[in-house]
Amino acid sequence: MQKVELLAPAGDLERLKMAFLYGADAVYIGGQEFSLRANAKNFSLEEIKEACSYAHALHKKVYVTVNIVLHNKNLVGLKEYLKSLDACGIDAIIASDITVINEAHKLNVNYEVHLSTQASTLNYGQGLFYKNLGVTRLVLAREASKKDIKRIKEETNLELECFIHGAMCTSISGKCVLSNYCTNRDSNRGGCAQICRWLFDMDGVEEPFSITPKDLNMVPYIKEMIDIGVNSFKVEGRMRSIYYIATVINVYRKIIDKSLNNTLTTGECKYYLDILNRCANRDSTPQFFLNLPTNKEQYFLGRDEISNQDFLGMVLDYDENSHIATIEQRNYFKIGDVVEFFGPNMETFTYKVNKIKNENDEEIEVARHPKMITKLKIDNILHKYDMMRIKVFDKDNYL
Amino acid sequence: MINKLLYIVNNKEIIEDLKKVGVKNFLFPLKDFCVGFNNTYDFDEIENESFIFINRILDNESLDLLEKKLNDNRDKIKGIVYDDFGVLYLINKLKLNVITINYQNHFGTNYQSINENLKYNDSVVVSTDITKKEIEEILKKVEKEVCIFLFGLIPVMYSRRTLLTNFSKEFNIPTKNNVLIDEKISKNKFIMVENEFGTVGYQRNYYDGLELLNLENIKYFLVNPLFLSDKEQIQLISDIKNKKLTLNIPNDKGFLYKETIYKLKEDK
Repeated sequence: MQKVELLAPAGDLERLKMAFLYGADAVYIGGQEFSLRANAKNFSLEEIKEACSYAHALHKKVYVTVNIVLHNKNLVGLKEYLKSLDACGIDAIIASDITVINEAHKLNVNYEVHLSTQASTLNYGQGLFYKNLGVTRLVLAREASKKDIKRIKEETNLELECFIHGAMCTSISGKCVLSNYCTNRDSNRGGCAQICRWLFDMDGVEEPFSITPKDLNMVPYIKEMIDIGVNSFKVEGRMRSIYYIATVINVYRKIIDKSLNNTLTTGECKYYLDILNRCANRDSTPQFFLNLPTNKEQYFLGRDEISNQDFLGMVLDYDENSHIATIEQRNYFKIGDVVEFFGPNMETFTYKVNKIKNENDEEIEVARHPKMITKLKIDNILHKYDMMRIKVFDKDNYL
Repeated sequence: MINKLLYIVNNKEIIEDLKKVGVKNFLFPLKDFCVGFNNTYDFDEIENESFIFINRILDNESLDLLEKKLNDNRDKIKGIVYDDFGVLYLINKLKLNVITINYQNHFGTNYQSINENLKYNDSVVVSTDITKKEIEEILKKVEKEVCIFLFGLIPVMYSRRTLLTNFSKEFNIPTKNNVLIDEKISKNKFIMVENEFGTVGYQRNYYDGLELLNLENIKYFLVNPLFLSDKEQIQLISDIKNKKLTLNIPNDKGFLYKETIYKLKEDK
């Protein structure tokens, strides 16, 4: 059976470590130059080096996005940057600009070059064009259907990477400069202001509307994607929180593993889907995989993009003798709340909060302060970086 | 200079009149392989020795269909302007003897990438997302003549979704095409044009790049007169000859004098 890779986004070292801990096989990160998401913190070269050492010790991989569309003045420093990435020991760059692809090969770097989704690949002919330029992997456009993915694999025999979860663009990636016109921020150099989520007026329509799609999820189709030759399963979201990364990667790790050994049930799929949708606070659909999306796969009317308060805390320590878990609070919780714990090395379990202590071992009724240290007595064994969240869905009801 | 225009055909009826005022190169949006146009043309409607325009991002099935069409009409075509490199793959596979012009929308923003691209193509369309200064630097440093977008509606988004149809379904209203939408904060207006292959949003104002006519190292100047009347199109040719736009239509100079921000920290 082919090797299947779960590929996570990481906006910084903390999120990178969390992604690996929760089951990612590889991460993609942005450096401080030449990367979309230009206004994120992104990784310095030192941090990229550290990320590679950390990943390689775990036999995992680091890919760096060098995916802006370069203007003349952005050519300055490109060669040196590509060489520096080689010195950091990265496993691949993700690029769309032909100059980046060719420069990397001219420099004879040790890393691979993957073609970014920004290049909008939907057919094998384009795949073969870039194969001749030396790319070893295609990150397909999010618009790729099952039929197209299968054919591209058959005709190119290149590694294929497909998005399986996260936000969608209204436009084909790389084919939108709405941001340039509405905000003067260059979307193909990382300045996308997500104009498709803004509101528009149209003659004859009373209420302002957006043209934004719902998110992508491929929960029910992972097995099919494996069968048609997808090598890497990519989660969107370099700007996302550690809770989001942990939740999404944890879920897809389970789905991929269960898909590979044919033990994934329809009920579990539904449960995982509810967890994922709740985490992002947005609906998600398989989008283009089987059919052209309709109005049902879009949001039209204005909606508040308010994140929920589900993430209650992160385990910092667990004493197996006393069964005391030290937890850093992330959202308000109190005595009587029914919560659940999840983590990379355990089955999710339910817990009723019956006593809370603060860091001075004083009993308190409520954990109300962000990042305050709390202590709970919990019989189930926990590990550092396990997470506590509001219990919304009961897995037993799905089985 | 009029003989260097590469003029997108939106209305076949006007071609003879345009020829009379000197236009020689016509670019026909190819039926089933273009988005953003109300009128597209099959090979039997396209004049011999014309250019064809293929601006769709193609799926495999479309690529197969295109291969057959190109092969069947190989002697009719003077040149192909395309976005998707799958088209170049076909041109090479079929050994077509045509002028190849890569118009990878929103790419073509620096001289080095254009030069790389020119190794595989006869010409490349320079992006409209850059400044005049950047265009001038590109023209100095490219190794073959390139194409410049001179005038017309500029596509600013291309979605595979049928956004207008979806909208009408959602709100249970009749489907309209060529719809103007206003972004409420920036007050920008966009014209949305849909066909079965997707939706293109055009910046409402016509791009006026007539001052670029003075530049050298240009193979063709692209003109997209979408939604202009016949009379306005003839006037446009006269304006191009005079290098000054007098047509009474909403227009601007795009990013010729307005550099986009790469990182917010530059916005100081």
